[in-house]
Amino acid sequence: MKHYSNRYIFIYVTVLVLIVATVLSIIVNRLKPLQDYNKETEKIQQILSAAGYEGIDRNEVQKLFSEISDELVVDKTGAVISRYNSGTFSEGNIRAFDIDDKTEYLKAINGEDYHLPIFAINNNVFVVPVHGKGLWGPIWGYVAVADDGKTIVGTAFSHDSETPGLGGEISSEKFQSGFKGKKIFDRNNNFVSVKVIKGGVTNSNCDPQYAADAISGATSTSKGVDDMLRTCLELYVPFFNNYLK
Amino acid sequence: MSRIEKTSEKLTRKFKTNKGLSHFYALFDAIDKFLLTPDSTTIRGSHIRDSVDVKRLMTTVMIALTPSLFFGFWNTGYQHFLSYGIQAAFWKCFGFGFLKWLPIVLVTYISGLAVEVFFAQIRKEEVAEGFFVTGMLIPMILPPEIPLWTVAVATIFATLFAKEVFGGTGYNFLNPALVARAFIFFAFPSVISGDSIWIADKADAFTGATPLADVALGNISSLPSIKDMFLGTIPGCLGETSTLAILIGAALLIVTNVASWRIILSVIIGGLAAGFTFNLIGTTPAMSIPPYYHLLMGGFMFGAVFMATDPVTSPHTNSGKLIYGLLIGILTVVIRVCNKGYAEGMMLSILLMNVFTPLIDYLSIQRNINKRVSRWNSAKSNKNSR
Amino acid sequence: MLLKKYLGPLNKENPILVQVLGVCSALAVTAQVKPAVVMGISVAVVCGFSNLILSLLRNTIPQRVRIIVQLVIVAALVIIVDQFLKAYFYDISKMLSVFVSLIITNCIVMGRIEAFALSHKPIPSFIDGLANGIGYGLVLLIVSFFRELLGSGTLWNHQVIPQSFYSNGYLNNGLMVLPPMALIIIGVIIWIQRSIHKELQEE
Repeated sequence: MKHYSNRYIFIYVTVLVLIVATVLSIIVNRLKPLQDYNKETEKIQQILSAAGYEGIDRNEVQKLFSEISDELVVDKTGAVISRYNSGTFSEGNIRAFDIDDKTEYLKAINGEDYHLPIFAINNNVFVVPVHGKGLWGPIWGYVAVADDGKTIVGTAFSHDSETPGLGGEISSEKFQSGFKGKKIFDRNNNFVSVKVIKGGVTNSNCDPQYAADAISGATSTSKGVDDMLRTCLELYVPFFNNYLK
Repeated sequence: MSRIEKTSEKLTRKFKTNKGLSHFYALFDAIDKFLLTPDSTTIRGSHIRDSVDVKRLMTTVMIALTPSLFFGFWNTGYQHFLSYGIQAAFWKCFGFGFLKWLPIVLVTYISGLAVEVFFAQIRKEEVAEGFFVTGMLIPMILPPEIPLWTVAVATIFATLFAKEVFGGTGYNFLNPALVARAFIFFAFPSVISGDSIWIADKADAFTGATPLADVALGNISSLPSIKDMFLGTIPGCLGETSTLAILIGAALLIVTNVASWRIILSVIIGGLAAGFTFNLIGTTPAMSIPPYYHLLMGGFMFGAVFMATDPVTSPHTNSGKLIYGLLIGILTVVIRVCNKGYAEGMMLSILLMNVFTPLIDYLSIQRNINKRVSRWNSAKSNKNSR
Repeated sequence: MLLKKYLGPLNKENPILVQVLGVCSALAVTAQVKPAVVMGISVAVVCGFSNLILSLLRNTIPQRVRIIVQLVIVAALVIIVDQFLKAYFYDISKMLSVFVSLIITNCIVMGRIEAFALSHKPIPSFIDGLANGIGYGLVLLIVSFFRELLGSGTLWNHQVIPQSFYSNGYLNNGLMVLPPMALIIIGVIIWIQRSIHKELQEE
């Protein structure tokens, strides 16, 4: 076996690492824009899905989004402090897209000042992000509210580790269709959110306008959705109040 | 020799020698042994003559199961009619339950025995009788509305992978009946969880939650009375509901020494201890359930008497049995109280402890060896110092 | 002949079934066919090219830093593959998540480097790496086929089990989607393979 001197080893490893690092940086740099584009597209797809735009071709998604949506940022009083569309700010300077709703939510809990993102589609549907806890892991999604401030147009729920066939059904069409047309404010414009009822709305004595069916056998996840909707939508009440009649 | 024995001998010879029939020898032999006695005799060595063989063991367990079985028939019918608001007559309930049970048990036996016979043929061995009890147990731990095809798939899976792959009867490292139920639980969770499946053909307006399901959600106030839970007039699986019927069976098993009283007792004590400890912590409603409630709810007693005591998958040493039982009891209560996703903890804790059985036995034996070694050493040193 | 030698990893010397390497990722990514195939290709690429590069370098690597050099090369390749997937196959890369990065811990890669690349010429090493990766990919394909079919009723994300089955009470087998079932399926494949090739059975 050849015996290599220490100097050789040092130089060898250094050169190797330098070459590898250079190659990697070049590649990562070239690919990053594509990767970011992918992440953005995924988020946009979910937002559009909540508003009812399903199955859009991946290459058309961003174009469609910039055509039909305005990104709004509101403060805790519900006033719009920023409006963005297709690259220009007509008000303010924060993009709703860049806001992490979880961070803002934590700020709200701690009593600090916070901003909320809203995606206005065609200026008549407001899509807001929600997040919460399922049985085994986090659940999150988007809720689309009509411009009367109270009717749900659609939802897009996702989960990480709920049981397929039980909790995992929250992302299914069947479960989510139960939210379409439900209202989050009652006749006296009090915020009631949409409750998720175990055993089915028809078998309970809840007003069906403000309730959806839970998933049979997935009580905890269903309750998680109920909590998620109530706590997150509540933050948007000041904003929606502007649209209630 | 009687006519019957002569016929059996003739048939045995025919099956062994005839080219075509020899393929079915294993099946024939199984039926023959079941109806009569095995015809092999010992050749060498000293043996203890005992009247208890594997077949008689199995039969005793079957007899011990009958109180739970018959009560289950009646209860299935009773709960069904109750959900419609009718108080039906005794035989009507009994008949309804029996008819609900019959297809399930047929499917279980056919699918399980198919696997067993297949393997017996391939290995050119004889079908062991171990499956008879398993086939009885499986329908008793499944809800009455279980789809039959899932029962077949689960039984085949359990018999194949928990038993035959490892060598067949006596070599399984997991309780096959529980593996079948666990398979259904993880593969088809919607047919074994929730509210609607514990009552057969129930009326839609009736909520049929079992006490355990209520506990998992924290609805302590709607638990049935102790009398109901002890007698078993609550919704649930066929064999699990009546603690009283199970205890009658347990008495028979203990008296005949077929099941170890050590295991049954330590499971109960473990469960009570854990329940009591949770009472002390008492942060969630599920924790403040009185300990003895856990014994009455769900499959606790059934598991303790009929599943945990399976001689193949439980430890052989006496001290091992106590540890095994204690851990099962504790684990069951912990799973029930702390995890909302698994309402029934008994099945999972028994399966887990099945895996630990060889380790428990090993540790018990090692401890014994170490004790004897130290005894020997101290005796030796005493002798030297004198 | 040369070609016959390289067919070994596909069957009788299959890394997962016979050498029992790389089982971990086989359990995790085989819930559906699409990610399994992509994973198989990724492993083949990493294995092949790391074998190639290390074989080229084999006479220059000092013994004392041998493992480190291997790690650097393999890690670099894995990062490249990971970044590439994130850019061009985003949905699949999300399903594979950390398991692409974990290819470096896959014993197949390091195993073949040590056993073959460091003592053979570059081209044969490259082919050996590819072959082992493909052998691995084959097993992944089989396992994921059954898991996706029985666990979700789909294949390559297309609904295969007709709706009429579901209306009649058929259910997807949820256990198939979980890793333990993958292990059992691999066990069954090994079982079948050894029944056919009796010389693989150990005494």
